[in-house]
Amino acid sequence: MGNLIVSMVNSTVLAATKETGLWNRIFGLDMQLLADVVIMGLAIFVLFLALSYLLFNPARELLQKRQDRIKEEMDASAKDKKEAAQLKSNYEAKIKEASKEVDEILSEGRKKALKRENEIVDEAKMEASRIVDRANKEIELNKSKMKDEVKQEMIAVASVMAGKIIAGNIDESKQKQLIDEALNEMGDETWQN
Amino acid sequence: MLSSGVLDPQATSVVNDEITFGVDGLIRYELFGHELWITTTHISLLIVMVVIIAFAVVANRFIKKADPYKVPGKFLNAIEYLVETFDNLTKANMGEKHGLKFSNYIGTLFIFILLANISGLFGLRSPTADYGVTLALALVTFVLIHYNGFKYQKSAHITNLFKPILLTPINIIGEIATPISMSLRLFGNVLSGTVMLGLVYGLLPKAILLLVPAPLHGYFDVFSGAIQTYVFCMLTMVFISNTFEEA
Repeated sequence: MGNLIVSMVNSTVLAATKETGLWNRIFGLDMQLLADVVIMGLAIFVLFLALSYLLFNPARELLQKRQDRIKEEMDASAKDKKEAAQLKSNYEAKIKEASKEVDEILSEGRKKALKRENEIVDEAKMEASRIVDRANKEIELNKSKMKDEVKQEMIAVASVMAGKIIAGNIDESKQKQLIDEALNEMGDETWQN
Repeated sequence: MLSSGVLDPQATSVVNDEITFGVDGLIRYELFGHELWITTTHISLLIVMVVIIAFAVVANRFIKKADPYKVPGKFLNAIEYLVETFDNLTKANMGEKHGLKFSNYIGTLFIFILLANISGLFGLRSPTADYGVTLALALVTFVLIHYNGFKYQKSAHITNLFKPILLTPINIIGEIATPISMSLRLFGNVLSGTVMLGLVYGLLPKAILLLVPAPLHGYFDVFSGAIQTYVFCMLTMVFISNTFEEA
């Protein structure tokens, strides 16, 4: 089988060259090889330039641009985050201050309210004591007035009674003594009760 | 394409009249008194290049239209992935400092060799199955190795060849062998696939050809093609980066 193939290869190549007059070969070290090398050298050079210009360099540029952009965005977001943290701490500080202020205002208000309350209570007490005093005075006044009136009435009644008794059997000195006794018995305690 | 029905009488009964694996001359021209040919390799090369450049032009359109402030589409993602892969590959093999400078060339080399190797799938004769192509690629690597050698090691690049003095001939042969081994490795691998498939297409009856060549194409064109592409690019990177280390 091996011999068959080799003989076929040989005879095919030779036959083709001889019969058709065409040039055909598999390998040869000659001017044709040199020409092929030069042509291929030019071809790979052209290909290198074309691919570099059209494919590799622009693609790399694009990747670089995207890399830069992503880096930019990451930097920006880090910066934003920092700023946001700063703002947050600022606001927190402000809120703390505000609550302190609120506390101050409230405690001041409470103090004021307490003071005002005390003032009002004091005033009310004073007013009350004034009213009580006035009422007491009025009562005293009315009491003494009533005392006098009752005294007068008593005197009148006693006089009438005495007159009547005396008219019977008692002298003037006895009459007077009786009146005084009567008056003393109906003293202050009797009236106040 | 080569066409031949002239074989020994026993063989003709099983062989189709087309067995194609050689490089055919298409147009003859003369240069400096030498008879030269425009061959099928050049046509395949042209087609591969046109495809690659067309892809690059389309990719370029997408990139130009792309807004870096928006989410990229699928095609753009694929392009970016491709470019980043080459960047990372060169950086990993040649170092962060120098890697990126070679990314464009390694990328070009990779795309070209891969497409050239798998062009057999589309009925073309792989350009890399022609020694003229692989030798040129290996010579570019050779030039890059020694350009960077002189750039980073100065005169030590030459004096290193004589250290130790006894191994001087081996060192020199080693330097010269680099492009030859690289070019022959790629050429031999791709050519073997081309020959095998040429024989299969030539020898088997047409009915069987509907099924048989598919796994062979998968192995010779895709698998072997991709492996050889990777090997060639790897070797190029490693040989070039060796010149940075000893600086």
